[in-house]
Amino acid sequence: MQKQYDKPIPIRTREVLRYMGSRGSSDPESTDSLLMDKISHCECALQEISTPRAIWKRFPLHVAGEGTLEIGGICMESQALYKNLMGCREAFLMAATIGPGVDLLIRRASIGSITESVIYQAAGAEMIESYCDIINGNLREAVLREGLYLRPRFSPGYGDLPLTLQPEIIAVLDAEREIGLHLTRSLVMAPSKSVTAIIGITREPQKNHLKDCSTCDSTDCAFRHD
Amino acid sequence: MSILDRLNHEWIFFDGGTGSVLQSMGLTPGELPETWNLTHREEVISLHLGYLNAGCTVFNTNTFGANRLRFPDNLEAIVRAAVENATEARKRAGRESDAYIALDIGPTGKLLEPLGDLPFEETVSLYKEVISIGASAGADLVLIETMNDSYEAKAAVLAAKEACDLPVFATVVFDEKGKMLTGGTPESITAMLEGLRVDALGVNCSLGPKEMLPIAERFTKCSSTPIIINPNAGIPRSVNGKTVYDVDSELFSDIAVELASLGIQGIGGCCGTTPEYIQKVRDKVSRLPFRPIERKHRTVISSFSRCVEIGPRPVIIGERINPTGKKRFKEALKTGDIDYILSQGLAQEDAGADVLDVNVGLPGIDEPSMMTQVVKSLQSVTALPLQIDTSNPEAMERALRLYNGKAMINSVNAKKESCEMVFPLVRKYGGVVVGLALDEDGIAPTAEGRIAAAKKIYAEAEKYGIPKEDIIIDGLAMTVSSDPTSANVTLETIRRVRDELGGHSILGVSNISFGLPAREILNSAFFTMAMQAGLSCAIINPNSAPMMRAFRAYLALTGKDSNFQGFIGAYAEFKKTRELYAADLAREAAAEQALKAVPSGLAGNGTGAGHGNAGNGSAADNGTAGGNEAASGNANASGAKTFAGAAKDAASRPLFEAIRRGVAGKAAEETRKALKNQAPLDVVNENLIPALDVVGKGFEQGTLFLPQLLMAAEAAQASFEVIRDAMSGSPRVLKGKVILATVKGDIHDIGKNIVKVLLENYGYEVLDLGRDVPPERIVETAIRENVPVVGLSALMTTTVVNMKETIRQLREKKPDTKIVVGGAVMTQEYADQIGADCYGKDAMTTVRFCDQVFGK
Repeated sequence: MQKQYDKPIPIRTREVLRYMGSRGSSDPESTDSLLMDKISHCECALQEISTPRAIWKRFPLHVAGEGTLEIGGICMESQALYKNLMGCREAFLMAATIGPGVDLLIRRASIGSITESVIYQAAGAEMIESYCDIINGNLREAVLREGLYLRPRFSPGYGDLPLTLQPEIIAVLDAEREIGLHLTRSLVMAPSKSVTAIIGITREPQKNHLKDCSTCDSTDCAFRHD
Repeated sequence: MSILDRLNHEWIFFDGGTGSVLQSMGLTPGELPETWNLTHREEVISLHLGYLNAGCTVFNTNTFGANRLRFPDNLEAIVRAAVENATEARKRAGRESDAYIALDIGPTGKLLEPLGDLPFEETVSLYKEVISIGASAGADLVLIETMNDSYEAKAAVLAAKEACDLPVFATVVFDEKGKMLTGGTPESITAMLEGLRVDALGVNCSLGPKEMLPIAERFTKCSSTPIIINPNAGIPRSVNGKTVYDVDSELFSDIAVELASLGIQGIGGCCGTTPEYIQKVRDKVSRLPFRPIERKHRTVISSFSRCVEIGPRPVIIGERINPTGKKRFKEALKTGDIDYILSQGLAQEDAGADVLDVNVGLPGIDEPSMMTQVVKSLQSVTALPLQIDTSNPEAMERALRLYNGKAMINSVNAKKESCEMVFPLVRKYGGVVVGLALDEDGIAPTAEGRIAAAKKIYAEAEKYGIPKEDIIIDGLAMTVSSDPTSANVTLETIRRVRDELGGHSILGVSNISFGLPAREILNSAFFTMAMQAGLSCAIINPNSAPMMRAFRAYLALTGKDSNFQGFIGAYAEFKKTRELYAADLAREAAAEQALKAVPSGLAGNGTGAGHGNAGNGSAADNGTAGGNEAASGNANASGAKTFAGAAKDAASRPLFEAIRRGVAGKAAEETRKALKNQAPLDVVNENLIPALDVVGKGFEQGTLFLPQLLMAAEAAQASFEVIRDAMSGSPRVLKGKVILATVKGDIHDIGKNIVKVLLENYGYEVLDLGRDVPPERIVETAIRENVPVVGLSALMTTTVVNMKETIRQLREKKPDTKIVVGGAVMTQEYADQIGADCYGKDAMTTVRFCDQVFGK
């Protein structure tokens, strides 16, 4: 269901540096102090302005054929998702956002300081990921009580799972109304720092329940987690 | 009897949930409820009958999501059927004389610009279409509800006002902290909706009745318009795949009594509530004594998220967005450099402005379109309310129309012509208007005459239904140098506006000192006097330290700065700055001494070249004495140390270093110093370009990463600004023109902005077409301006097709133009596939590509 999250969401500075393209040397200790000051200033502003909200619903999962699934009345055709959800009988659909504030900060910074707008971009990306990890953790605990486990979350745009599913996922979750998550005509999410995902529920114990990059071909992606 | 005859005279009961009731009748999740108006008429009628029999006064048509975007083919049929079903239900219930059909209007489902991609006027027209159909089908009123975004609410209200004459009610959604999704508060939304003259306003959805108590209370304190509260049946939970709410009808109606007792005028329910809930609410609330809403006489303006009340303390209105006497600003207006104009706004916000005055009038400029562009851009980056400052009626109307809030308007005067132009706009769009105390006879030389003009303005406004609290009288500060009594006359006018008229006042404070030296001294003293005389709003330069000191000191001394927070926050470091400045001066003095002692050839480096502009800081006026003292102390040591470094040492190239490390403030300062001894072009060639080269190469080699490259670019930009001022007017030598654009459908522009900053750094003129740019516009600009390089950015796989189309059109119509593409999804392979000349894999690639094309 819906949650308005009012605790601060941890922003891992190491990840922020990585998203900004620090190329391996993402150790806050060894980063230029001037830049670190800017980053911590931006992180504070982001904490202040963000309004994290999420919604999720649990649905039975039907396998309609090799590579074709049905969840919450939505038909999804994807080999990668099929592989991810192998053996699951249920799944969560979720949508989360840290709100429109970050977009204001990015726009604002792009006038005054392009560096800051890059930092906000990276810190916002990290914040929404971090928020999704928190939600995943809570959901994992909830299903654990039933002796169940979660597969790593999987989003439209990963592998061959098309972005064209976004309108249906958002409609089923009523995400526009519940958490203020909208789509533009070209299916870009607004606010920009938002995530929709499918999370399989399985009987098999799982090592990783957070995010699945293993099926993605973009091996040089800054956002990749291995 | 119209609903307006009953509103504010008795309790008005609204209906409850629609979707939840229809789902219990078999509507499936994801199915559009409005289709049932045609396919399940009896069910929809029975939904209405349930609420009518429960005793509600106002019930909603099943049209929450009805608009052209969701129903491109059968919108008219759906909306007509909705009103017909409601009419039929009312007939069957025998309530034709005392129940009212509200045409229900919900959000469009799209996010408006700048957050999303739906333009404001398109939103207005989407709503107009629905409302015209509903009104002609026989609805009694328009109920705009569940609005998460004040801008969308404004579009809907304007549409209702323009499409019909029905009463308009509007309710919005808050979270538990009392914030709308886009940041609005009960106070800010009330200011805007009252400005738009809605008939009732309030809150619905998202929260249960208990959580709405504090929000309802805030409404009762700020609203002069009847208040509606329509809560959910508590917080939703999912039980066996079904949504259930945790507040039952008994508890709901008990809390409804508490809500009603706060002094609201209308109550009903939202998600999860049923006729049973409404029945119990009606039973309990109708026994309570009814209290009409009272006029609050508050003078307020608002932005999308902020409300500024005029009265409790003087309000600072930043005057810097104005071309008068500003060469650089005029240039920005002529070249359409919106970012420069915005930066003037943000600087004033940082300096403590409460409101920004916006004046973009300049001969030869299309003022209405420039005003629209600036207002639109400003409200996408700042939450400060704006003051629309223009004498051009079209510019005023267009700005007020798309302003996201209740604006301040500058200005009207007591002349008939002025009233006839301004007041209808204030009436329609809302606003607090500055009334210049002058009339057909000009500016009266006495306070008496100005007060008479003020009274005339109040009286004229009243004819348009504009209350006195929406007028602020300008007492007219006139230069004291041409008439020694003028300051006194102005101050007396201010005092009498407060004491005799019970009104608010405003002054363009700095006008007082025209023609005299050391204007800040007079301005700040006059400012203090005016505040003491009751000045409500001051149009000043908030970047001026003496003015802000006068302001903060006044607040601290008159008990308007609780715990001296504002004062301490601003000046706790005051002493420290003084000392720093003193030390600075000491170093300067020492360096100068040292300079005298060395052969003149070395002086060109600029280290010790004096500090012409250092006095700009907050310690400027009283720092001098201290500085001199310090200079005689340990100055020699530090000065000698700085200077002792040989020319090869990095410290001896402070500008180069400041840029390389990315310290913008220092870079600007060092540039000013360097310009004392070097020609502007030499400063560029010997410091800026080498520093940028070092950083650019470091980035390409992977020893520096993006933020460091950008910080250096920003420092270089700060330096360029100074050089540009120094060259005042003489045009920069540019390498060539480049178009940058994020392609159609894509609203992400950070990558493009990065490339822009770097290209400008490297001496290119960038024509930035923005984001979501159609191919035709890019082609047309490339041809018109004969641009050799076009840079395109796309973030999404879904928009790469538009990039491809843009390239196709460019190749066809402007084949000699080279194309570089970049963005998150772009790869070399992709770039080749869509026929680009270059794949800009990172920020520097595009710069290098342009250097290659332009042969630099």
